[in-house]
Amino acid sequence: MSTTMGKRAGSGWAGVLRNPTLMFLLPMGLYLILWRAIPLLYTVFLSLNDWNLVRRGGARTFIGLDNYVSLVWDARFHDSLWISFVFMVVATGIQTVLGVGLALATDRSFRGKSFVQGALLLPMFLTPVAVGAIWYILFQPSIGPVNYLLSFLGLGPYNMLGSASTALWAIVIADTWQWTPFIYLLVLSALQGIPETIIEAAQIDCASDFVIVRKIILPLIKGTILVAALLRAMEAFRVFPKIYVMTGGGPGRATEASGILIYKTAFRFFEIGYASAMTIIMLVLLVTAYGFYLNVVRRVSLEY
Amino acid sequence: MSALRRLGMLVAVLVLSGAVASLAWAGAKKYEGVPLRVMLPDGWTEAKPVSNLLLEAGKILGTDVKISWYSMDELHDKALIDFTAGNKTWDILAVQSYNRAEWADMGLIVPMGKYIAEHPDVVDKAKLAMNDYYDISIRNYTHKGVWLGAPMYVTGVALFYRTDLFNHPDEKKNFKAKYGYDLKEPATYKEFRDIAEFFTRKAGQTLAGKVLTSDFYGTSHSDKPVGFLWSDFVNYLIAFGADDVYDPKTMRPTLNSPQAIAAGNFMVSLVPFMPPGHLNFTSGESTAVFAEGSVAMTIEYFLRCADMVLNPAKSKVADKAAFTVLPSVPGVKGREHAAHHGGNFLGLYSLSGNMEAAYKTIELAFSKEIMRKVYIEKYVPYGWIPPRPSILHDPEIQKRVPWMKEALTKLMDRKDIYYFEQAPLPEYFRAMDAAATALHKAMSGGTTVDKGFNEAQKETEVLFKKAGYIK
Amino acid sequence: MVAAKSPLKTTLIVLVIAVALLWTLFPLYYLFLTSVKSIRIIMERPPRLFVWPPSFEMYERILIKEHFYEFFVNSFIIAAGATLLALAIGGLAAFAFSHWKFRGKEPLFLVSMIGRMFPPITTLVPIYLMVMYAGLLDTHLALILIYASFQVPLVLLILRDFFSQVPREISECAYIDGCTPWQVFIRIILPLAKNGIVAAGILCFVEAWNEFIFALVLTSFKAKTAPVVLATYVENEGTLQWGALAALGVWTVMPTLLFMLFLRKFLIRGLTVGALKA
Repeated sequence: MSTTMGKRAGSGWAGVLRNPTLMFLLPMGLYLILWRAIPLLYTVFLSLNDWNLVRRGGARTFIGLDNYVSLVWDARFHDSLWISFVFMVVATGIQTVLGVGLALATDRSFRGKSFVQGALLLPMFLTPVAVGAIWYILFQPSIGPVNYLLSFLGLGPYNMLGSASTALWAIVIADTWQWTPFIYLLVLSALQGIPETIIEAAQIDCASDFVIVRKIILPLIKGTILVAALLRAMEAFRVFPKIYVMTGGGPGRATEASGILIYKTAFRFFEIGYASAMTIIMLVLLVTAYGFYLNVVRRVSLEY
Repeated sequence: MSALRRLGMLVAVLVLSGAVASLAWAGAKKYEGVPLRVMLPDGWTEAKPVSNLLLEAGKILGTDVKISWYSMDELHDKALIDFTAGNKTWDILAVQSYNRAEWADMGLIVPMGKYIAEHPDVVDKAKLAMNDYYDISIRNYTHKGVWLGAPMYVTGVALFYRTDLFNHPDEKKNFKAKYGYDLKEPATYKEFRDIAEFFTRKAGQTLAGKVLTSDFYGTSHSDKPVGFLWSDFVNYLIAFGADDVYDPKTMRPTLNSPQAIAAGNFMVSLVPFMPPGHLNFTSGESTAVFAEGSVAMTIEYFLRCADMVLNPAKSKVADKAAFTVLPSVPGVKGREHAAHHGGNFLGLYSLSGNMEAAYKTIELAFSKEIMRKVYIEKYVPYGWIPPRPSILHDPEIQKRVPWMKEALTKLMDRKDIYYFEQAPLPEYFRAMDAAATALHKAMSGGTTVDKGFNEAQKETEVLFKKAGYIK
Repeated sequence: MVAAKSPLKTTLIVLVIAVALLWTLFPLYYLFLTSVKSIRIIMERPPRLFVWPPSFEMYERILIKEHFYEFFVNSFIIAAGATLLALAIGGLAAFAFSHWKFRGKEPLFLVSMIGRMFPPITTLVPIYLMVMYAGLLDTHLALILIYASFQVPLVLLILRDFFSQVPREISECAYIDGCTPWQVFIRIILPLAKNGIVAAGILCFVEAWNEFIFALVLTSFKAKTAPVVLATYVENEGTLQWGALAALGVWTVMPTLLFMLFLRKFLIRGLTVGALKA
């Protein structure tokens, strides 16, 4: 491990330019500060204000932590956080299992391999709006093919999107269809990086496929799986266009995830300050959760 | 006449004509090349005709009309953000009736009435022709006494129904036997409900002499939260005698008034007679289901139905659909045939740098001549209903649009329809969101209207308190 | 990769693949189907699973719209630009994170990830103001810069993992041989992590292509992108647009489909190269 690399170069601006660590990190640092940190700070500032674009001619008044206090009591906000959380966990879990399984299943030579792998990747290229639209049609109780096909099996018809108990799962299905390829792609890439020699050695030792997968392959790609799952989870928590198109947040508020509520608060209710406070709370919760999760990732993937 | 006098006259004539010509030339060139940026909602039947109006006017005035299309949601969000940030890009935009109060109060648009009052020298009254608009068009787009902008179409919602079913002798006989009165266009909502119940049949049962291969429904509504559901519900709300969210005299929300709850319960009672997907239907879908032939009656925007139901190229029931006014609730005075008008109007973006050119272009675009020209050239018979009575009553137009006369008699020209406009309160959307969500939950079986509306009432009271309307 | 096969295993695998394909392709097929149904039959019950003859009126409608291809070109330029920028910035940082120890490494990493944890929409107003004051409204550059900032954490996360799979011994040897870190990065790490880079690049591109809210707000005419146009068909009290939406949906898949087909050859080459170790 090279630890002194960074220290060798000396101090001052010339030192900076010759310090490789900084040179590699600086672009990212500056870039993120400019485009993410500064806007975020502004959002924090906004969260301390009462700014309704319509009321009192759009005047903005500083109210300190009042927004946050209101949010502690805001059941609608709590519900939306819970919905986002549930969605994130379930969707990510299913997608990870399916993605890994598919990658393992197709990581072998067979005729039509490139076609199959390519086809399985397709859904993630579609705009989320289009995915929401197509699954909306599929789930339509009267004109959707899902119920039509189920009717041949004597099942249904089910009103997936119209009943509070099933609406969220319907969206999970649509999300799974679109994003399992995401995990699939990453895991497949990682699988390709496993040297054949290791596998062959294990086979010569008469290890069964199942054992090979469990004891050799999975540990080697664990890092990638966790990374993929983390990325997916972050995305899933922020889900918006699919829900917007498929249910608009309903029935009632059954699918009103945080993204939808924040959007509504800002753009339909014009409460910019309140929406900013919601965002900050969401952020704090997620950072703590991911910090914890990343700890686990670090322990597992980097030290082998 | 002496030669001198003749010469004098000739000179005078030349000078005069030169002056007039140069004035006209100056007038025509005044707006030459001025770029006008317009935001219009894609997918709204009236948007394309209006875009053509603007382009025609632009051709004549020389203004360079550039149109950017968005969905109404996008348009709303983008206008909001652009305005908040002080972006001057736009000149003209379409404003939805929901938002008219907010946008006017925010200062996002300059009310056209205000502009006209402040710039009388620019206005051409003959082209503006304010007297050639329906009363509801003006009323719907007026806020705090000031006219906001040019209406893009007329008229509101109507009841469409299947004539083949209503006129079928077996159906008529069975209906009379079951309900005790003749099957006809429903005059009250109770009748409406009876008819909806009567015509809801499962696959395998008979309808109008034929055996059904798939389920058939009495009625359909667009019940997707929030805006779609509300647009359909508000007809009932007003017909049952409730306030549109709040009582303007006391400024208190009245979402849990007995009338509002009655209206909510009525709508919930219709659920068994609607196609199962109705909870997520948009207006277009609901209309399409009727046009496809699966529904007996529907209450929808007339303009859209003209495009989707009466048009044989798009509808399977074009030859067996008829329309009429909405029913009433007996005993509720002053709310007969209450119908929601809705609609967009064209407004002047307040940060525009070319407001005069924008105004003149709209004025010319909406003048009777241009409107009539575009309508006849491109949009008869199903594509549009221009908002000017003179055009609709024009015999040439009526020849080309077979249903126009009937529509005028039954809808536009009728004086006893209670057309209402949406309450002009900035907090309207929020209150509407609370009530519509509660109703949606009740319609999907998650709560009762009573409980739901009471909760919505509480939420809205908090909102109104914060806004300072009540203590 | 895995050699020995039993008939049971083969059947199982074939079954899994078949189900996966059906599951993946049926909705796409239905999307295409919806786009070629004429308005009259689109709401039919029961729904038709096959249509003949297909009606291309929806495609006609879209293609007649002005400047349609222009939106696609815009989307492409912006997505490609953002991807390259994100790969560059993120790649450099990923190298540092994966190969060196330095103070504050873990907290810094976590902080970099924050960018992906909240909905972009919440920083809409400040970013909009920044872009406006920089005079970059309605330009491709603005979106390229902003999208890259969304993708940098993604790239960082993925590439850190892939870079760390390159054995340290190789780079250690190179340093001993007198290579600078920069040379190690370019000549050794990048080629060996090629499949990771391609994967990250694809993900970045797709995300940038599909991004919608910032594109909506920051563009009006010149830099308008495809998803903004697509969303105009999502209804709000407007006329039914399922057919047009489906057609446009098919169109948005098409270019990325071709892109991916082309890139997959590259991917396979990259993958096999990556498998070679010292």
